Amino acid sequence: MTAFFVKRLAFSVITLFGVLTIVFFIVRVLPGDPALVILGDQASQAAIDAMRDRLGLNDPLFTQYLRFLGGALVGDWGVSMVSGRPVVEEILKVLPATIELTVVSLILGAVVGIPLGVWSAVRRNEVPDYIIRIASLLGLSLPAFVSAILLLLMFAITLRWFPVMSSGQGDTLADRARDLALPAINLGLIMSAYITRVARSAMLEVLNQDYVRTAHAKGLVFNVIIWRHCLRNALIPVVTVVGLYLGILIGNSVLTEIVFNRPGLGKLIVGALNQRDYTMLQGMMVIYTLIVVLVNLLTDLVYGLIDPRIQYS
Amino acid sequence: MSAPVLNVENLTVSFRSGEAWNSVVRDFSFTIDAGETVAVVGESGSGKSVTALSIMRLLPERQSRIEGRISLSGRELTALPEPEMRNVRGGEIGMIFQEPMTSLNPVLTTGFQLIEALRRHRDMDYAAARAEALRLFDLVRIPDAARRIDEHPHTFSGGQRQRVMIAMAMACRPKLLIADEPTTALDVTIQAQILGLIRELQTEYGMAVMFITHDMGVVAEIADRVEVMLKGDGVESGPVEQVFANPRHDYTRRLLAAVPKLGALGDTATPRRFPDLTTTPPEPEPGPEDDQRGKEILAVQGLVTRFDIRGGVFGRVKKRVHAVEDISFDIREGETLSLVGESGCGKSTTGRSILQLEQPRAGNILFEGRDLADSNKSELRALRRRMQIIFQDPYGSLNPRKTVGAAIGEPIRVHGLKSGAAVEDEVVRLLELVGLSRDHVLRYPHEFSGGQRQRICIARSLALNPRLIVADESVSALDASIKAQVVNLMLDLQREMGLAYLFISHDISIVERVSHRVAVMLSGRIVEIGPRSEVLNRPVHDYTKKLIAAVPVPDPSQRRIRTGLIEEELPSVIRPLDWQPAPSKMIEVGPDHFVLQDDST
Repeated sequence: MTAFFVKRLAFSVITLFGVLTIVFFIVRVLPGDPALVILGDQASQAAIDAMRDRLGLNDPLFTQYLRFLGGALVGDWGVSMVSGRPVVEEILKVLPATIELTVVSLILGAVVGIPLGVWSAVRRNEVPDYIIRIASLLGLSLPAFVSAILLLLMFAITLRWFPVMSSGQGDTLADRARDLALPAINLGLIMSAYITRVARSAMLEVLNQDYVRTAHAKGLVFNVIIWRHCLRNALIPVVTVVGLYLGILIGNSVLTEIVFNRPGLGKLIVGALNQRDYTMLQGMMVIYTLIVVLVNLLTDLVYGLIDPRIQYS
Repeated sequence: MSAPVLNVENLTVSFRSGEAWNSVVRDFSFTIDAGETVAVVGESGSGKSVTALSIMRLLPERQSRIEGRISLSGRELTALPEPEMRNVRGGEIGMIFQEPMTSLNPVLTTGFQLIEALRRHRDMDYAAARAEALRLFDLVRIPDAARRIDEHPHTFSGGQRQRVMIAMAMACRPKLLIADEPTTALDVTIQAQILGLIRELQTEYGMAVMFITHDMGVVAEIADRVEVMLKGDGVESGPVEQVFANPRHDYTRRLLAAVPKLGALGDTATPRRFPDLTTTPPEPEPGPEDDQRGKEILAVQGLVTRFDIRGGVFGRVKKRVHAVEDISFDIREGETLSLVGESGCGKSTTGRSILQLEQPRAGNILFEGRDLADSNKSELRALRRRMQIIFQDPYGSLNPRKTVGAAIGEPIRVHGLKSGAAVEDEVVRLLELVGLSRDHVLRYPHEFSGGQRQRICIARSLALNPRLIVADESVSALDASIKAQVVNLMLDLQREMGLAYLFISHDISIVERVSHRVAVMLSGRIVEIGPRSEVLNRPVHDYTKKLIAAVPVPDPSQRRIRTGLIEEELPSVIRPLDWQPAPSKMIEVGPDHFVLQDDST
């Protein structure tokens, strides 16, 4: 177990190192001189040269690379070219809002998706199954920004239950929950559509296994068989999908955050793109990689909790 | 006399197919008394498992229909509401299934699965149920029960898992135990242990036992009465001695005749075909085949095959599986050498190593006098053409999306033996050789039965005109009558083409029928090798004796399975890296008959 963890951690470090390298070179081959971007078209050549010197752009590429790696290691990802504040500071300011949104929609997706998937499998080819399958297909095909606008129309504008703009910075927990509700429901429903479909097909396979027949032969009650004997066996593919989907969720959060005007990584990255904030983009790419790598590590560990046959060796 | 425990009257079970209902069991009646064992016998598709599942009401409700009466101690089960039926399942009727490897839930501990059954039916708190589970683990003789009870099923061997299943079925002291082919997937020595255990528990608790099997040897060992099923109908029923001595129905007679009896060939040196029983009148028992053995075709000298077990951060080799350890033998043209032994003894690895499907660590394999290790790629390719393998699973070894003609024709084209229309003719010739016809060329594998598929596999292996065929458990998955036909086909082909067979099997009764010589493997080594009549009739090595003693005898007057057998498992062949195996030293105990020198000799 420890050996496995150390091994996976080592892989994670290598992955991060690789991403840092790629990010460094991508930023260097992008068109446009950062010094010119910072100072604007009107700057004199002397000012531009001074700025290039200050940014270290006149040093050999390798020196710049080492300086970049060293900085990344100690958490110094440079200064935003737009706001002038450290990149780390900017990211850390919005990271909690994104984590909050992702985790809540993930929980929502699992709480809705797993029971629906199980129910659908148990009532295979009956009315509930058809309804659930159609609903989940709808959830998959509807773009995140369309469902977001529909939710806003219904619950924020017509019914006025939730605010249209959600700053996510409310003082009380209730304020924050009200702000979070619609964005989380939007992402959570999409997530649940994925989970429903995977849980259904995994359950269908498990329901045909010999050990389920054994459980019936023991005289166990149907619900015990489903929830205790079958579900845990069906969870592995679900966890895999959740792990993979977290990446998509972060992508979807861009659209959701824009529609609901909510602060978060998504909004930050779109802003940085529009303003060609290279240092900020560099930092964002690193943080996204870090998240994906961590989620993968977590997924592997969860496999072992679910299935005792998976040995970390 | 008291009422029977189980009384099945005019049971008819139908399955829905589209709008119509197909009956798979028709008008079947039988009873089982307390303390009695009734064997329900028949080949695949005869409806014996469906009968068992109907008694438990475990068939899918919407797709099946049960008619007739099933009563347990006078209580009618067919009309019982589901909640009460749940109390019957596991409470009054215990059930054991065929597949011990998949019948236990892999994510729950074995102990928990047992405790769950106890708490469901016996109103115990957790501590009491755990204590009872521990007692049951001891009862079914799981070694080191106190520790094993908290372990998951994947750490148990097949035999041990079946013991856990028995403990679970016995947990609530059921009136009736239904055992659905409980030993079919197990080795003979483990089978003997499980049969002994079931009988012991039956005597102790006075249960009625319904024992479903296709193996007449097992029937003779365990049953008091027999019910024979054929395609959904009960065709014969009676006390076991009577059914074996005076079978009344034609089908029972055929079933019994198709059962190989160990020792039936006496001291003759050559294989013998099974009589063809489908003709009227049935063919009499054939005489031994002529001895047509020619010169040596394969020589294996000091073969060693090991597998690495890797682990740790850097995936270093931690341990090794010593699958095959210093074995030597040879095979002559037109000869069958059988490799017998239990699962994990290395017999399949030996076959695969000869065909270079596994890389041997050491030793020489000489085929037609050429050392495979010294041959270059193209020579090896030519040599390999003349060695073919047939696997156990005729379902898995044919590509479902390829016609039979394409499957058989492919090796001919790939090796450039023939081209164009000549390939077609060759495919038809091969199909006719294995008893199929020209009409089958364009059909797909799913249109054939298991026996026919195995014929197709044989035809495909013959396509390259081989001299040696490795048959790896090739007939083990087939019903007795089909098994007899395929064995006959293999013997006919051997006579006509002078083929040499390396026949790998755990089924010693079949081995007697097909072999000239027999080699017994244990933990990667050959412990005894010699002429068939010597090894099987006068075994020298302790393990050979034990193996032969465990084979059920299809004669109820010669019951040999005893209760209280020693519960041993085979020694592990996983060794540390610095393990230095001693070379295999064989002692000659008779003409051409050798035994491994070890602790037991």
